[in-house]
Amino acid sequence: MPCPLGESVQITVFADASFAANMVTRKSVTGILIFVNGSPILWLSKRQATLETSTFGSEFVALRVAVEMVEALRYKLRMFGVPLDGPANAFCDNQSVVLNSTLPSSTLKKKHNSVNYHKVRSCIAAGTIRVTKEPSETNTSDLLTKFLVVHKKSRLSKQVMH
Amino acid sequence: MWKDGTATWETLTAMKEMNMARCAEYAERLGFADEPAFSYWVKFALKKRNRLLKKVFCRKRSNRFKYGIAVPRTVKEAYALDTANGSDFWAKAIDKEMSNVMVAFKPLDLGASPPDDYKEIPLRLIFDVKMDFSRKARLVAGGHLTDPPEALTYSSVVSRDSVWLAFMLDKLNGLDMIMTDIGNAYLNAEVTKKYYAIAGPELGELQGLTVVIVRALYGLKSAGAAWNHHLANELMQLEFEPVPANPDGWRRAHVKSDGTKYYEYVFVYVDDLLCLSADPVGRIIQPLSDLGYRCKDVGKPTRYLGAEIAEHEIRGADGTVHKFWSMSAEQYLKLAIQTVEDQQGDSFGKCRGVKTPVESGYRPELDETDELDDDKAKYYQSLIGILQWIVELGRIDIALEVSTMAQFNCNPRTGHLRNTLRIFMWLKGHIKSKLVMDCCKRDMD
Repeated sequence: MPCPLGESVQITVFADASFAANMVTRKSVTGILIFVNGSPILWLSKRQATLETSTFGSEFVALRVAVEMVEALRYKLRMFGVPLDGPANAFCDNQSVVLNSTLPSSTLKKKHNSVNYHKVRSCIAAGTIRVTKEPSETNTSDLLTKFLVVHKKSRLSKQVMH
Repeated sequence: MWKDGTATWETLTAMKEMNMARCAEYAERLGFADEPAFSYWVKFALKKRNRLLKKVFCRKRSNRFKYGIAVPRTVKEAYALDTANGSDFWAKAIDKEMSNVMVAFKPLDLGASPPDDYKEIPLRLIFDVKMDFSRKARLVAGGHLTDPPEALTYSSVVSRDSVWLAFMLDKLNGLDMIMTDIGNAYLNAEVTKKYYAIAGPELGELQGLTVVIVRALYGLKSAGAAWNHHLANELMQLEFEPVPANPDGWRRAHVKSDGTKYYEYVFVYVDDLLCLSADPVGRIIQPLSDLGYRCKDVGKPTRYLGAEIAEHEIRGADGTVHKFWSMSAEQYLKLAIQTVEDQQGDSFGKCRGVKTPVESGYRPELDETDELDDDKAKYYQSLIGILQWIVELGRIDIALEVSTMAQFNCNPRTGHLRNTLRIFMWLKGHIKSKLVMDCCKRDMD
């Protein structure tokens, strides 16, 4: 592991899912946008492989994918020798996901949901990431999950692009 | 009815198994393709047959003209074209390539037979016209005739997000960034396999002699890997360390003149080098040139994989101006939109000023318009391909639209094509958007 040199960086993650967006298969779409300081470095917009039965479930899938991307990115930055500035800040617009992942209690029955839960929980415990709520009005990753109306699209685009 | 004149009844399943396409044609011709026993497969069998046939007919030789300039296929043709035009463009291109490539050959004495364990390999020149109409020749070896090596054959490349990170780190640590590409890169590397060739007319005075190939010629299967390995060794000599988990990234600790410690980086994309340092020319480019590399186009980065790189100024709240690297796909977009406009004609121009990339409230999965025929479907797929590359180049704002439309790649409908074209129209109005690699930390409230 190289000794970190130079200025430190901070990771910000926006994760969102549009629950059952596909009107034929009722699968959800994951949208993830990762910033390192002010720069958008990674982005993902993908239909989810599993069929979720609740907004909570689909948001949790998105958050888990985001967590895994952050883990990889943190490892890469460490190998670059870049100092990391605390855990990554994750913004998720579902209140119950935020609560569930920050308070260690769970009532999840489905196997893959519970895997998602434990993955996110363990990363929070390890100090890789911390999760907070961001209202969907300002959640930039909405750009990657829903076909937006004109003004919202341009408002969110401006947060990412110039 | 059999060849010997006898006739028997065979089951439809057996006939279908034997020759599906002919069966389908027969049913279609006699007009019972809509019967229950046929309706479910005849349509698909015919569609598949048409696709296969088209693929076969597509395998014709590629165009011999580029930008209105005739492109030769052989050395003889090249010289003939020059004589016909009264110019020496092709001859010059050949001379230039050959003067670079000569180091790759070691001629044997006339009549000497090549060593036993060496294999013969054909050589030929490939001709092309570049964007600025200059003529280019490239000597390649017929690597397709050799056995593939067991190990890695290609030259690996640095991942895209690492490069975007590099642009951010550059400004964050106040470094300078220099890009260069290495001329005839592969020829710097020594070849590991044993090959020889009989020199053709392009090799000038060596014509007819047997030459042993000592450097990694373009076209050899292991050439990419040989070059990659070679450059890695040289970088290691310059005390660079490979960055784990990130192929083709290299790092070296250094101290700035003001005493701050930082890392210098080199990122390799086959023969393109991206160098970050307080003094990239003096500390990286110069040592590399001393090692015998021909560093071309040394300068600040302007393009990377088709995206334009530029410095973007942002005025901070306190009035100070910050400079950051920015990436935009403007040129690639212009070219793509122009092509689509030319193909679509008036119908494209009519829909000017669209507000959103797809029609509002459009649900592509509920689209029940007609399926596209094969030509149009292929066109649709090519459009999606272009759009996916545009997203890779940093157009995050259409990422969702493109990935959604790409779900219909295998069986697109008219409505899907219309909306994909609409994405292009929308892009036309938003051509200048770019990603800025801002290195300031965000305020977390």
